Amino acid sequence: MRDFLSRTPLFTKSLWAVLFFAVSVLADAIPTEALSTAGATMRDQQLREIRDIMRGGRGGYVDLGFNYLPFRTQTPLESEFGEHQGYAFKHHAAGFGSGEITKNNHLGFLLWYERSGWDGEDFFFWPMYNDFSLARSVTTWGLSYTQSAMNFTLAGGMQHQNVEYVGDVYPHENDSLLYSWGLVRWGRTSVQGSFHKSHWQSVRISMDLESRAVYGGRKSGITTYFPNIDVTLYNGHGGDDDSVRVFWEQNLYAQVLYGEVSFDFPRKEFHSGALKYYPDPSRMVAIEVTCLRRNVRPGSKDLLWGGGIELPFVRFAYNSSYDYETFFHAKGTFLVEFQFNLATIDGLLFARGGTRSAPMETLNIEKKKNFDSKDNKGIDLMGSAKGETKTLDAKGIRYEKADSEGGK
Amino acid sequence: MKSIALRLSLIVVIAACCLALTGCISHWFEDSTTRLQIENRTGSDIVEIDILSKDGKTVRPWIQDTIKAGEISRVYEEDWVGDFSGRILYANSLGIGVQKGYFDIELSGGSIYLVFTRNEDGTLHFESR
Repeated sequence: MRDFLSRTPLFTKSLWAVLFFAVSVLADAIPTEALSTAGATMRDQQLREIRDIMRGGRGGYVDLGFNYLPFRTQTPLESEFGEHQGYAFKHHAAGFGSGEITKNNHLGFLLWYERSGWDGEDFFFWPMYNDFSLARSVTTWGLSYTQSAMNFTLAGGMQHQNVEYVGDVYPHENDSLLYSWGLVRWGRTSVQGSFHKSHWQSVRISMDLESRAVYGGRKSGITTYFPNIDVTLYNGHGGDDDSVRVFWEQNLYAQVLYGEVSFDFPRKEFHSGALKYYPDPSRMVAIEVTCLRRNVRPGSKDLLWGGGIELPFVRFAYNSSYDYETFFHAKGTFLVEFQFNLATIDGLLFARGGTRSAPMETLNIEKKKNFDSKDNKGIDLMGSAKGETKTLDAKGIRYEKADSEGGK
Repeated sequence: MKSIALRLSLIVVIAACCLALTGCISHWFEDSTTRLQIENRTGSDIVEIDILSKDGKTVRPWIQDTIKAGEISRVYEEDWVGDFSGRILYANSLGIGVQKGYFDIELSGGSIYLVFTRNEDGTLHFESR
């Protein structure tokens, strides 16, 4: 083995080291409690994403993704009996589309869907449903109305939480829960509420003060450094158990570097923080470092540090706070998520939360300018703007006699 | 030479596709249940084999049939794949009353054939075959 390593180039050695680390890393087990309480997390996450898309209130959005786990030791399940090998799963899809019915009046329909849980086998459609599986889905749908001249959006709909299978190591839960939700946005401020029958579940007040070019704002300047703040009040169903989470997103440099921090009240304690770098403000690509308080240990040992890289079709992460919170406290293993999301408004393309259009759109705008300019006489096929014909001089063509032996 | 490189790269691409797909089809070549069969060479009857919770308060029976001394049980399939604690109930050497033995077991799925024998001090011992 030592001989093999000494003769191997550094790159190959590094590759072996990475592969060895990726395969042999022992993941921490996910607790059954994280799975049994995930329904509320899923519902809140979907409403948060809908709030992001309703910042414009028109245009369209598409999202598709699933977690990819090649090894069943990556997300073992910790039950009262021990550690079960298997797969946590999360499949999600979302779509929003709107049309202008009369001038400046837009009607839209949105649908968010996620199916997640834990199973003894990996699958796309049909789980194994063993004694320790849990499979749950959350579907959120709704209608939206946007008055673009007044920059006003009204949206609302229903949210269905359905448990399709629960193994007997989890607490019992209602197999079908129905919630309603609503959102009102005026300019950069929105209020979103979630309700179960006559009881409120959560109320979120968002102030997206940052100027975003995709919604008609500025590309640079002091207004792009205004913060995005949201305050969410969660119903604890016990009077004193109500809690508030304050989330602050701050542009640190040119809408490519952001800081995020959230605090919990009334405990008055830090919940999470992140430093995110988007090489392009369209947010198609993201590199992040995250920190999260887990509330399982005292002091700084409680903090979970991690990070991730998001590319247009795939996301790699290790101990990222997003995965810990939305993927049943998964940690201690490299996670891969195949995912794609794209939002559009007025022909501009960007990922959810993006502030400017993707770079590919810039080329179209430049072409458009060429057509509109007065001194332009058209672009011919040879690329000359003044219409002069160009010829291509071919050099080095060899002529052969017709009776010569070809094909040799 | 060129065709060899082409073939090699094709094999690499196919292998990469297979590896990429393991995220949804790995259960085609990995067992997600454990099929347990017991051979009783203890000299006394084995009454029951269970999986115990970590606090010892909850018991999930796996084999509840008596396996007589010298006999081989039938195959019992359950969803236990992972690291667990087990309990065995067996008749004592006089054949009167039931004794308990505890063990930790790592199950990676598939077929398991366990042979239980008795140590000189009267306790049980098992090995996998």
